[in-house]
Amino acid sequence: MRKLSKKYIDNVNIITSEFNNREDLVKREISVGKLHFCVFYIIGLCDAENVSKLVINPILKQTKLPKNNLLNTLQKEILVFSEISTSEDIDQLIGEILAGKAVLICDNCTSAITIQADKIKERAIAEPPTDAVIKGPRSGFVENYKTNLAAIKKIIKSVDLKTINLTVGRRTRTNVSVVYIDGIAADDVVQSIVSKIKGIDIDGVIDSYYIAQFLETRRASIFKQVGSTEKPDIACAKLLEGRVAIVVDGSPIVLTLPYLLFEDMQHSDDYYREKSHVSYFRMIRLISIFITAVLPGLYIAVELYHYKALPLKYLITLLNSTQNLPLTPLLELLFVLILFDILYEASLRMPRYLGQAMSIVGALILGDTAVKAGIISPPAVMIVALSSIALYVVPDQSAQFSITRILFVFAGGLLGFYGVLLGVLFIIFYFNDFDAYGTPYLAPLAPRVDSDLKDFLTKSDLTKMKTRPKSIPNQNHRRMK
Amino acid sequence: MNNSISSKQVGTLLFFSIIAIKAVLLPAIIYFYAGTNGYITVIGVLTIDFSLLLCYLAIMKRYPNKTFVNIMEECFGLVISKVLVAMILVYFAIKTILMIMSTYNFLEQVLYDEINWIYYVIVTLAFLYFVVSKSLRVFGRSGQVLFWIVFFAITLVMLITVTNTDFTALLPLFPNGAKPLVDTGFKCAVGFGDYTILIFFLGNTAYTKHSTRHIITFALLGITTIANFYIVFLCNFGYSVVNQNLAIADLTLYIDLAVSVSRLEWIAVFSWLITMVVQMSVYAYCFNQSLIYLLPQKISKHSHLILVIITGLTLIFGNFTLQNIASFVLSQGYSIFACVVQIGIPLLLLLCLLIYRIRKPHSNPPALPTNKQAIEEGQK
Repeated sequence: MRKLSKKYIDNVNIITSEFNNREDLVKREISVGKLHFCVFYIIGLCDAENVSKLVINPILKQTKLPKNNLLNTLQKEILVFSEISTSEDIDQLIGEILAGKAVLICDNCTSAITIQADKIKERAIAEPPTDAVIKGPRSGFVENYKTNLAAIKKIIKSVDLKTINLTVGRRTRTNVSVVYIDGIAADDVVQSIVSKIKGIDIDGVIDSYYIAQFLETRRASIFKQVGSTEKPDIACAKLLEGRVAIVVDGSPIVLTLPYLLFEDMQHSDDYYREKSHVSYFRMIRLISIFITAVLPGLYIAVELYHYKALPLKYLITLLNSTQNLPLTPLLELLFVLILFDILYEASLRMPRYLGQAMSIVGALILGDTAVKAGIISPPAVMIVALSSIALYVVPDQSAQFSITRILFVFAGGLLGFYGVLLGVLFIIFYFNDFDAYGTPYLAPLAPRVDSDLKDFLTKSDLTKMKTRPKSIPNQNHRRMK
Repeated sequence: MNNSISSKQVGTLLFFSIIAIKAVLLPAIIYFYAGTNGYITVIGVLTIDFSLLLCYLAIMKRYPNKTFVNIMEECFGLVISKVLVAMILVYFAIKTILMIMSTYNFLEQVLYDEINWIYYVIVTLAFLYFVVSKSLRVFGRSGQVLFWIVFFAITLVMLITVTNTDFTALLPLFPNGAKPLVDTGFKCAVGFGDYTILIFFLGNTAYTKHSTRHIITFALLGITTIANFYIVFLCNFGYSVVNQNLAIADLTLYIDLAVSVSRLEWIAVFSWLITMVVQMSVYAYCFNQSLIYLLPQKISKHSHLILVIITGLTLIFGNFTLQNIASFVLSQGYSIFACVVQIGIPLLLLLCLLIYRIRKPHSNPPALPTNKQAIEEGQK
């Protein structure tokens, strides 16, 4: 650790040289009698007006300042900012300047004062585009981690809500906060997450997904292993169940651990609507996952190996529509799947003013022209369209199931129903081997936890959910009397 | 690797074990040898098997942390332990191969016009290679996921076929005496011995005071389901039952509801296929565990690869057909061997209980964990 010396000029020179003559570094030197001060801050990150008004001006107004006990006097009697601290660590002070704070170097002092004067413009809190609700809170997280932490603290007003603040990234020095409720979250889970984050040695962290990848236990897996949310109410609900939230500066997505596969089938407004309605739609979501992943594979299996499974009338229709196609059924289906994925990717990236025109072109190409030209068949388009629509019923799982469905198409194409069945069983065995942070991936289905089934596929009345989910390790099971 | 499994999970795997091979080829074979009283053979052998289950439960309850190998080594020494495990290895190897071939036969006759044998073997062995390296906990959890799907599908199919059932086909009772029924039970030993898989569950089951009840409940459920299946099957087909080689697929073909709903037999077919694949995986797991014990430590790390190679070479180059495998497993020699393993091992375990009691008459067994501890242990 490099410490400040007692010599004012040395301290100023060290900090100036560290910044290597950066043009946006402001070095404001002031004197009161024989005492010298220097304020460092970066233009754009620091609130220069407030620094002038509340730091420089009050100091300049002093006629005399004590040589001894100078820092104390400044903190308690002169500086007006509410958040100030001291540090003697040069590297820490540099980090504070880079984070947008102002640093005041004082003559004859081995410590400097850090002033919380950062002012970064951020976007307004709005409803997240990926998590719209009909009923319930609509606020979402933003890119500023302090705002996000405040949003959580606004809902959970408890002294047991703890945050462990870390800095990750050698060059970005990104602030990462691990948030949990002391007395509910399991200590070993919290410690495990903190130690993993502390062990990250990387140049920079731009988004929470960078951290998520280090928290995953199976790096090679395509399946999601870390939960995420863009809404403070969901993050708080998860904290109250015993999970840990990870807030990353610069990202509106807060991570949550431990993660269960079925939590993505629970939408945020499930807890703000009538329970029978919610239960029905949760089953729809489960059926949608099945349709997404397995239906294309089943279709190709039927077409290639098991046409006897189809009623005669439909078989005749299918044969009529698929005759004279240039591609084999397997290639045809893969072609349509890839075409849909191209459309999806293009619709995300293209400029908005082109969107409407291109979507008409895409629909025409797929829906009409390609079919009439005899390149693809209507049943293939219908199956892939149904699968693609069902994919976004559970958007958080869309990435992994869009890949899984291609694997099922190969399984069905090469070995029919048996291949699809082996694929399903493979995935079940694979998921059951997934345990992370003390939590089985398929809980509460496997291992079956009867008390958690109240909020699984069907949703019970809130008055009956007296205990926290046992699938998530926690210290205090009871949440309601 | 956490190998702990809960008693409910054990129960689900036992249910699959009871159902699996009995629902396709075996009904026709049993009714061929035993006549229309074949269901009595099935109920009788299942009852004997159930009593053997109690032997396993007795040792599980008394010594929940001791594995089969621990018990055999402590009671009889290393050599006898290895001999026993070698027998078990052969037993499960034959069962695994039989399951693979039965499934292929079923797929070829029911679901596919043509299915390439080499493709099938490669894909199946690839699946088994992946699965046998998993812990018992994974099997248990997978069993829990699949259990209700299979149970309700089979029950639904049987309920629907009740409309077409003529229960007078159950009569007459014992027209040729009991000897043909006993002989059939002995001959078809390969289709029973469902609890033999518990050999590798010993010492790995989170046993609580409710575990006996859980396991017995699932076992009785399996027994009831398969006994009902045999009765309904006979009552649907009468004397032509011996010609129905694909029992579960044939069951719903001729009833009115099946015609109007269409493709109803596919529910039964898929649920049975799930059972077969899970059971194939369990047998392969037991085969693998035997290999791990018998092989030197350096090689045992690759036991799942060795298992796949042995099985693959046997299947591809052994030139077996289901007919000659069936003749082999229905032969007297194999039936004796199967009975030695299926009946001998649990009786041996009872003997070990006695030996432990003689050696340490006043020692108390370790206290059973509470349900909560067992759940946590099973879940970790």
